[in-house]
Amino acid sequence: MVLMKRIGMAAVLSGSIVMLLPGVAHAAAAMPGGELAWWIWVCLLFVFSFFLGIIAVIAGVGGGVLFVPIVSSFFPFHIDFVRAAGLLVALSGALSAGAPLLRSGMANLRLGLPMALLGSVSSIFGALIGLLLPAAFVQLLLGIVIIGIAVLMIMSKRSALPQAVEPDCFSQLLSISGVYHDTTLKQAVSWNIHRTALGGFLFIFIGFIGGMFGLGAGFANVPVFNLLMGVPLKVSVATSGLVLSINGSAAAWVYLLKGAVLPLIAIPAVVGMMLGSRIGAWLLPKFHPKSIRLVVISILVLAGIRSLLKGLGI
Amino acid sequence: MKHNPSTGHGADVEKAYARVLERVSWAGVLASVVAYTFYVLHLLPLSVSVESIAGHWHLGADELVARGIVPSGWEWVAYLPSADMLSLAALAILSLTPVAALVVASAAFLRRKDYGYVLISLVQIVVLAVAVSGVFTR
Repeated sequence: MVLMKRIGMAAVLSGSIVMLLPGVAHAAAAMPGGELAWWIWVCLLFVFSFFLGIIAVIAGVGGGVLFVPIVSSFFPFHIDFVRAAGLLVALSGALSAGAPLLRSGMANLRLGLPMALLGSVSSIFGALIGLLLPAAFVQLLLGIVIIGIAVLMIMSKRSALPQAVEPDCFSQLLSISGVYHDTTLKQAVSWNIHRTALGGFLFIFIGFIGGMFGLGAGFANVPVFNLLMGVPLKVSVATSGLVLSINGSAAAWVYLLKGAVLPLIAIPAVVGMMLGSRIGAWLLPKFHPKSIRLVVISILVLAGIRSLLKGLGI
Repeated sequence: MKHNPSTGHGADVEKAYARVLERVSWAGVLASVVAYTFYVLHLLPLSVSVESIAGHWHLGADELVARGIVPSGWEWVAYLPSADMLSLAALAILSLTPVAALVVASAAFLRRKDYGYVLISLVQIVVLAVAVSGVFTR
């Protein structure tokens, strides 16, 4: 089993390095569907999204953050359509996981709704501005953002149960606090939040970036909830999905009404990711999340560099 | 500090939100799969052929709109029930899931007389409605 995992990781890494080579990426870019039949690209996208769904769940990252840089670099689709599909992928993943997390008390509406309100407004503007910018510039910025996310993932420590915090005036005004039953600790955990205003400001920024690049923003939502505002990790992850679904919906409509949603691409990506996420959730106990997380960070760095190079026309 | 009515696992507002989220999102996914099957197998007429889309998917959205290959704004509704636009409609349903859930949540907050969160939910619905209306995308 250990050997299989190592072989699998080596295959993923070596495959990523091969894909980073300009010749391979240019081969994809030079084929707007000409050399390969359209249905082959669609099938490849479905299979890719399926495996991405498995990896994303095991690594604890959203699908969108991996989907957009990789698909925009290695598939022949324009980045407008990839960003729109990425948003729908992130949205559907969050919707799929949302109901059980809300029922179990992990996802908290009182915490999520004010942040989603701020983030959704900025995600609309992010999407509008992103669609106005030249594709090469967006690709370049995407590369920088993706490498930044990889660095954030390496640097950020997660705190399963942050120290009890003194609620600030905003959190008291909105009565943001909660209790959930932690199945690992086998006890009820109560929590409060602080630094609500700063957290809200950061959600504006995160919403903008998510809308502009079509990324699900779990990579940023979780550290802000958990490390800045003092929310327990499980509540942070669950509520992040709630915020993401609302922000994603707002930005997705901008893309849809701008003609950037191609169902031919978006639906296989969404369905592949949803199926993969289910398998990933089933496989989760069998894998060591830290090892997979390391592979995902490596893939993010490679995809970010490839995106940077593509943006620079290299 | 005020009593927080949303404590304890699975409070009633969260449960109501979850119920709608689950139903509408699954309806959207199911509709997407059915419409997509009709689309790629040509079981219904298309507004634009799959080959035409695939031949131009390396171009930006603006370019495709300018060439009349994809509709902008709410023009796509006029092409229903072509299979490609049915697929787009299914994705639109999926994207509207949070709106439906927020409507139910705002009613649940109202029953609790939690007016602050009624306001937040309603403003959120307005923000999403503005995005859906296409005011900013004209």
